[in-house]
Amino acid sequence: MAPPLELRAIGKRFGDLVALDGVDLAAGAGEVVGVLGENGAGKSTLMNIASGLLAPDSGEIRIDGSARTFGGPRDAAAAGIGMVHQHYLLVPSLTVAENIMLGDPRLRSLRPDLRRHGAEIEALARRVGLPLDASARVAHLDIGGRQRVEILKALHRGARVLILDEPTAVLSERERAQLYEVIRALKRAGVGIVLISHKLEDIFAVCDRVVVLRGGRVVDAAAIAERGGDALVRAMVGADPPAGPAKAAARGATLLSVHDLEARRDNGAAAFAGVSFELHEGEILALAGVEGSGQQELAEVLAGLRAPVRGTCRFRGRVLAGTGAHRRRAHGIRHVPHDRLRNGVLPRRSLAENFLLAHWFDAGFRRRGLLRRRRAGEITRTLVRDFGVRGAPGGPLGALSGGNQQKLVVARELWGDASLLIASHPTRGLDVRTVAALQAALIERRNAGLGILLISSDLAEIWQVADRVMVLAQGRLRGPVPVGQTSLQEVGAWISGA
Amino acid sequence: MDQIFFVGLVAAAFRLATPLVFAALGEAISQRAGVLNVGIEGIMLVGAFAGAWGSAATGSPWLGLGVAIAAGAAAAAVHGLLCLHFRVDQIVSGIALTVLGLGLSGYAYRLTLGSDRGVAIPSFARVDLGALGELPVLGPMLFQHHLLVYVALALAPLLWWFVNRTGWGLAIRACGEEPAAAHAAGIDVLRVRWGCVLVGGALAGAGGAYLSIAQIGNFVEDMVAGRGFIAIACVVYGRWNPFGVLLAALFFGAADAAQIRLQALNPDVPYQFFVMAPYVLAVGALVFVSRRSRLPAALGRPFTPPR
Repeated sequence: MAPPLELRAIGKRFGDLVALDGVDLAAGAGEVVGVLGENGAGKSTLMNIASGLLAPDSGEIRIDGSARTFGGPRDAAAAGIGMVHQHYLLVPSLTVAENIMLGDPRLRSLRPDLRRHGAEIEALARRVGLPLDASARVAHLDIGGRQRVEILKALHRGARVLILDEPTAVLSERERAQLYEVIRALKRAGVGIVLISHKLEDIFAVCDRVVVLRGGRVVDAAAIAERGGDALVRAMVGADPPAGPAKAAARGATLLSVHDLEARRDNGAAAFAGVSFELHEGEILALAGVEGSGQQELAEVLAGLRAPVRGTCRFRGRVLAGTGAHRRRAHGIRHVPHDRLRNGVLPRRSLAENFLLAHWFDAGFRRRGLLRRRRAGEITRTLVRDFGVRGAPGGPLGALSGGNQQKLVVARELWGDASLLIASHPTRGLDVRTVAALQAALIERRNAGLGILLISSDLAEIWQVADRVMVLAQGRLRGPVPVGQTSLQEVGAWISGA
Repeated sequence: MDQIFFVGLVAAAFRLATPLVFAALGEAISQRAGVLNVGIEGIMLVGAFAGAWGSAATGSPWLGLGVAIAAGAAAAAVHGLLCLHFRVDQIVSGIALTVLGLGLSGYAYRLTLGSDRGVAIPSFARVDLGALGELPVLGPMLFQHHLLVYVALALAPLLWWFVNRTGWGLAIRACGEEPAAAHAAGIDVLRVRWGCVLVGGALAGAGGAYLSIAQIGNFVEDMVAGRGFIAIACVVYGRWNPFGVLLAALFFGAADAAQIRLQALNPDVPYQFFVMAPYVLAVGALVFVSRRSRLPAALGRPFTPPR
């Protein structure tokens, strides 16, 4: 019997970037297929194609053996493909039944019988083994409960194949175990499941088969029983790339010393705990891990933007108390935030004003309370020249390409007496030349004595530029270890929680 | 308290609350769908003029009311076009609508009714409820009003039922809380919001017409005098629930009735202090209430369907 969902030789390009290159994937009824891969391996693109959000450039989508083209998510849903996104699309103030029935034509009446629909939904929920109170308000459900509502919503619309995008990323340990139970129940009910994950634990817990993606290609596909964790990690991260240019000759004095640090996310959940490490002058220390594993929160704590729950940070032996980016900057602590447009720049203001954003408090830019705009403009022009930023210094920053904006941000942060740079994903999404230029700038400043904490989810980059590497996964820190004394596989295993 | 004074106060409270009830219920519907309309002051003025003009032109206050409702919806369509179609900031568009309504109604008045002093504007008569109206105390308090007063009172439960019990109401709430989820569920968010903006405008127009063709029997420039803004306060005060909005409007109506009487009783105090009182009350109430209230999560946020 033909599988309800089959993707054949799917290819997709975004400009010069080949996101997918001849990818095959099939999910049979009652089968759980794991899709494993690092950030940027093409998992999300593949799933967006399967759920009708993106159209493939080549290859075909087959439903029950016949080729189909999806004009949008509604076509995919009508073909029985249900997608459960990482970010749930639910209305918190409505009940479970109302959320599931939302948009259903049967509701377009003056007197919808929500009680009967609720009973139907509860019956469906019992049948597939995920009991739920249809009259509960979604706002009162925990994350796992909301996820079950999303799953039920897809099933209620007739999904025969469910795509779960990183379903365990936001779940607690207990909720994760419950989700595994739900997946097993759905499997028994004959639903096909595609489980996207970067966690080996998920793959081994529930999957029948696994497909490993790397750089937009299928690098391994096998029944789960035929593969061990080591083999999957090796397939996921690939072979060790050659190490980058010569590392710092001698380790400098201790710059930053972090002890037993603990912090929470915005929603109050624990981000990480028990984090301790040291960063020295003249070294690049890389922090790897899947995004959302607490790296952003750690960078914010160090930059003075987030108060830690406990623990201490010492800078050159002095305790950095409280928060306040201003005081940390005065110490020479600089920060390239992960979301440049939201936290790094004012897109409508000029390059010089964006430079001043980080340096206005410097006495050199003020005279009797007035800003010395001409001096800022001169320095900005030097930075534009030195870093090869293409764009007019007087024009709005937003008119520049992303790469040129990022160059200016890095140049701005490195200007003056910087002694510690916290750089979150400084090269993400940029073209090859800009990446090389930024990496060269970081290495040059490292050699001149700057300490750099480089947060990156790109292991190749870490191997290229970093001296030591550490990993934040499941709220715990692994490492740091010198890059020369570890392997991609070891670091990959830390990231996957193996 | 003096019984005559009290009876008069309650009766006046209902009369003065009615335009607020219409406008605030309309604003509540619009906001539940996620569209903030701070321009109802302007829409009420348009409605007040259109009601007077329509009534004078046709000789029937009912047709005048119909003209006012249509004009209110048309004025709200300007807001809808700017906010929903061109995604102009809702506050900016609302303020523009306030000024536009003030200018438009005043100008149109001078062109038409204002140039002809003798024109009579047929107005709503008070309904005769027979024996009910004859009741001592209760009669004058409750049963001697214009029909529109009772229409306003009946609207609140009707809208409550529509918003909370029907499928369309569910769609409206979803659009105001999480438009992305509503869109994903196949609801046309922009269409729902358009509908609510138009209904809100129609109700504000009716509220304005009550002032001109029921309460006063004439149109006066700027006769709404800030009631549109009080109506927005009523929505917050009533927590977006039609019953709450009704209570809030009655409360402000009572405050207005009381300040008129206090003016008369205290001729030594500059009357402006009493005129100010309902607004001071509105600001004070908002400070206490809005801190605890949960407004529609997507209120004021434009929605652009993906792709």
